[in-house]
Amino acid sequence: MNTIETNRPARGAWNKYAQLASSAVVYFAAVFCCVWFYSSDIALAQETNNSDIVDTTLADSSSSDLTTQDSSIIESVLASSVIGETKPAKPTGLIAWRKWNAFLLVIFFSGAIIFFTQKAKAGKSLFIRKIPGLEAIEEAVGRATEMGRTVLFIPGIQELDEIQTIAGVTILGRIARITAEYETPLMVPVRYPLVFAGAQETVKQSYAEVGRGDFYRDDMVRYVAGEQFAFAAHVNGWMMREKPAANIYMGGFFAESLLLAESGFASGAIQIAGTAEPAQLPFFIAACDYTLLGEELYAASAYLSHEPLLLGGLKGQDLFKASLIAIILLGVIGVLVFPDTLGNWLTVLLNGEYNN
Amino acid sequence: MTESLTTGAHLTLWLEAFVTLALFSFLYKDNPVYKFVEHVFAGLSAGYYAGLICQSVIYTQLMDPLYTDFGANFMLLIPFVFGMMMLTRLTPIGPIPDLSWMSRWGLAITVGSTAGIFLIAQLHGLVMPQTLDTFAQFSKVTDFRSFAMASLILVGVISTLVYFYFSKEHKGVLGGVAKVGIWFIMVAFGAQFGYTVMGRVSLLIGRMSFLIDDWIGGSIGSLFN
Repeated sequence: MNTIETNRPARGAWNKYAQLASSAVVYFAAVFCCVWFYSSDIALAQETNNSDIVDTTLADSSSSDLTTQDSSIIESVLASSVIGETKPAKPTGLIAWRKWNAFLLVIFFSGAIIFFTQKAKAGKSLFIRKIPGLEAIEEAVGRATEMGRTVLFIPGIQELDEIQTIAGVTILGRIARITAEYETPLMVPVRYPLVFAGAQETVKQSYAEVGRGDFYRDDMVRYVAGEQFAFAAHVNGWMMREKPAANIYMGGFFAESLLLAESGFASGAIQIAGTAEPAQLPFFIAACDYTLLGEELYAASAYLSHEPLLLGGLKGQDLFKASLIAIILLGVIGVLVFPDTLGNWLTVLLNGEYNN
Repeated sequence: MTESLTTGAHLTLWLEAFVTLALFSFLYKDNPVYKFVEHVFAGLSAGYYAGLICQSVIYTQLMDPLYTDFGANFMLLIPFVFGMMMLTRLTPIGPIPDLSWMSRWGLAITVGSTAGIFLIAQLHGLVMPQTLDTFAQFSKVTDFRSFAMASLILVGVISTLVYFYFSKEHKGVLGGVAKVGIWFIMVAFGAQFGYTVMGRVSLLIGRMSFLIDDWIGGSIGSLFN
């Protein structure tokens, strides 16, 4: 697991205690914010039996052709319209009991991850099948090294509070380690200030971890522009002028995906892309040499690092997927053969009380 | 339209047309005009977003609520403190030592809360309803057509899930099912590709309509009338 200790300047003992205390404050603030978020806005929406609409909107917000800002606007409009229709808010408490089924699944999911993480930490080898796009990353960086050119990495165009950006920045950490080892130039253009800070920290950390901190430069990560197409225009121009040897796009992309991938293709770079945006994947498949499809993006960091914590997470997800397949098959049998028992139980498990 | 155009409107149309054509010139190759417009675009965008965030976030969502009703909004001090900590990235400055490590707290809370919120949102909003709908539709089967559709969706969902199963090599039966899954994925991508291209073509038509109708037909046309 990446730690942020190695790059931190030495401080006194009191500073360590202060850091521990502040970390605890941060942790509790995070928990409080999550609980507050769910026990206010979403719980209010539940009063009108519309919680599934809000959650689906939140979940869908990353899978449309809209930009982050468009999605945020829709979320806020939808949430406000839902809340606007409610009666005055009732106190809902800190626990949303109607989500008992989600709670059960989270417990199962978390348990599976912890189980496999412990297994990996104990030294058991965990198999992950070959993912060609990820195998090609080292080859692409090697090509850039041989040609003496830059590796371009774009962690998507979404904010840091989007899960795809977090996945992209995590992969950036792995790639930065490789570029540091090979002493290959790295360029990371970003669209948001928070992503800029996160990416800069990640790259700096990676260079320090492989003992190449002296090769790190702050301008490896660059804030370009806040507007989606201004960002694309700048990166396109940069690609045509600098001719990077390898372009790696990992994260959430929208309408600019084909603009970037086509310019990269025209500049002669080997291109590897990964996104969980279904609308943009076809463009990446058409214009890039390798493409990670959806879930493969999230598996990438574990695949590249082979660290126990990440591998455990990946294995836990696989167990969860296998369980979903089993639930679906049991559900089909239940609905067709035992509708009043098995079929009903599985329906209640997945449906909760929302439509009852 | 042409008769009523003012000098300002003419200038705006010509500027818009110049910028549009300059950006289109990239289709031929990178050139100084494109480079100039690209830098103007990126610079304007960065400046615009800085102003937008100052107005819509710092003033509207932080300063104004704190000033008007501090007691009810004192919780806003938490994000304010984290926001200020981000500025420690600028250290060391003069006598101020390197405190840039403090900026990681804001990043940590953003990343951690995002992961937590999205886990529930995805599970509750997508995974559970879709799992339920995949088998529940068999209870609504009335004829062969609806049964075939339900079966098609069942096969598509299961084979796609199998494709994204990383713990086993895709060989034998698993490999065969995963291959079916990738076919489903590719068919979906093909449909999505066509749908999105249609959207992009409409954007191109919009720009062409501007160049031909508004600029050539409007501004240039009025010069010869």
